[in-house]
Amino acid sequence: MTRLAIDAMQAAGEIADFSRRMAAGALALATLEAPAEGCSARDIVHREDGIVLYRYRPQAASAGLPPVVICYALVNRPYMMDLQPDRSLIRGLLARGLDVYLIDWGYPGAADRFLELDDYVNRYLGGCIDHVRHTLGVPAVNLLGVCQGGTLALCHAALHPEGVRNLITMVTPVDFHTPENLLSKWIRGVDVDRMVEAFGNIPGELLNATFLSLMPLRLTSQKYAGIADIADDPAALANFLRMENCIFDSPDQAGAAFAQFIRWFFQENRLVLGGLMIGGGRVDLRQLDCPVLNIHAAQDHLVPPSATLPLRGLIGSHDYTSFEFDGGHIGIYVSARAQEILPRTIAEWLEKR
Amino acid sequence: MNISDTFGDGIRDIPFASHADTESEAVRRIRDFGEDYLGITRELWKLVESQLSQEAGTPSQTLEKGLDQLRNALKEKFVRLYVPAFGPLHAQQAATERLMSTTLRWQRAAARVSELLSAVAADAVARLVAVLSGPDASGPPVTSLRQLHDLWVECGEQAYATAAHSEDFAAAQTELLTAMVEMRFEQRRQIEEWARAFNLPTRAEVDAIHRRLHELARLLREAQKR
Repeated sequence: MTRLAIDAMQAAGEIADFSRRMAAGALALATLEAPAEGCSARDIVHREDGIVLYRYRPQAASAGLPPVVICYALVNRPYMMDLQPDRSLIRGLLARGLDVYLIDWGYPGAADRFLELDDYVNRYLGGCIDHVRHTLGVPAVNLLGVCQGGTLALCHAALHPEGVRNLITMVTPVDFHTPENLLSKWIRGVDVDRMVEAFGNIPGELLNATFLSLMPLRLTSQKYAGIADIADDPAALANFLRMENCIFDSPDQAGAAFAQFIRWFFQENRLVLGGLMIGGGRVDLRQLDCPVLNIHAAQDHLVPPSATLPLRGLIGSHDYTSFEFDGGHIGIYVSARAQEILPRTIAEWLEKR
Repeated sequence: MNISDTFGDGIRDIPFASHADTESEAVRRIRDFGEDYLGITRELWKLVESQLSQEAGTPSQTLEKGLDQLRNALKEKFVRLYVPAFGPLHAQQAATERLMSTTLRWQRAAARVSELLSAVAADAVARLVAVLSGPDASGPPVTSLRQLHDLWVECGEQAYATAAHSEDFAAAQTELLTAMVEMRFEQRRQIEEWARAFNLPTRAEVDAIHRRLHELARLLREAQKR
């Protein structure tokens, strides 16, 4: 008994139809313009080296809450948070009257090879937060860290708790040694200093290849076969192109900071096991006593829930909220459900604090 | 004894010189290697013949084991031909040897990962067959190639996830990355040597300047804070 019931003539027709639709999809893609980086109006309010801090223009009456500073990951571009009008966490927050700032880490060049985590966590992130505090005259901000940016935000908040009123972490790795963490297993035996010595800055292409190899068939063969399904839908093709552009817009990683991040977090798991020193300061999550909202994605293949949930037991704060989003690592930024659920969850949580 | 005989007797014992009734060390080494190489080739042919005489589908462990033995034997014979680098250009020769050695290491590492991925592909097909027609096969009939493709992707990802979490796979990935790093390191070293020869700036020199600038900027920031 077999479930296979493919008729030869029907299969031949399917191949012909698939080829025709793929060709049509390719032609339609060729007519689209290159996607823009972000869609909401914003102004540059602060710069340091290659780092830029944006402030988004309001889209609703102010909710009267302290500003939200978004700290995105270093490995991708932050416009993932504002991809298009109907897929923008930032728009969702603006619509609820929040004052939103976004840190753009830029594209590290060869001259940035010796930037360390100290520069990112203390100098750049600290500089952006201080700028907002001083210009608005507020004692502390609401800090929203996303993915690796959440890990940086945790470190900053533990080192400088006075500047962070509330901390929101989204799909943020905390425990890097959980059994599901494939990246951690693969990188644990690598001499990362030697790697940086050979490469200088770590190429974004190398990181992309690594991320693709986590689910190689779904993220290559199956995803691109899907073009056939949307070949005659220009809006869906434009969405597809925008996502592709964003996913593979991966800056090179400043060598020294990359080496420290891999060694201290992936290899030595110091955020959990202790002993993490950044810029001469000890990162002790027990010092983190502000309210924390930890958002994770149930089907996240990059930051599995098990990697982020241990946060609860590590921080000093007694005001901890965990929120599970039913989706994956990318869906949490761009799915229609995420647009509806996440801004509301964040805004309501902040209003109560 | 004339001068010619004295000279002839003298050079007879020099390892790299040849003589009508004797042979130099170098010639002996090359001849020995040739004989060994022919011996290995004969063994390889015997191995192939023995495999051809077996029925199709016979497990190939014997072939793999035999090939491994021959590969190791060949490597061992080659090593005997090796002469370490010396003389005025020894540094360049040593650098070239390192580059070749790291390239070989990378090729071996890539081959190992390919081997593991081939096993994943085979496992994916086995899982697909089981899902389609195994004793536990259940679900609606698969009536299109697209459904079959999606099912294959699902089985492939399951097979891959199982393999990718194994220690073998992690070790192979680590070795591949390490080998690539070492190869790239040697490639860069060679390029830097060439750049230096033409008095062109090198990455190492620019890095040294960036490192100093970074340090100076840090000191300046600290001084401004005081």
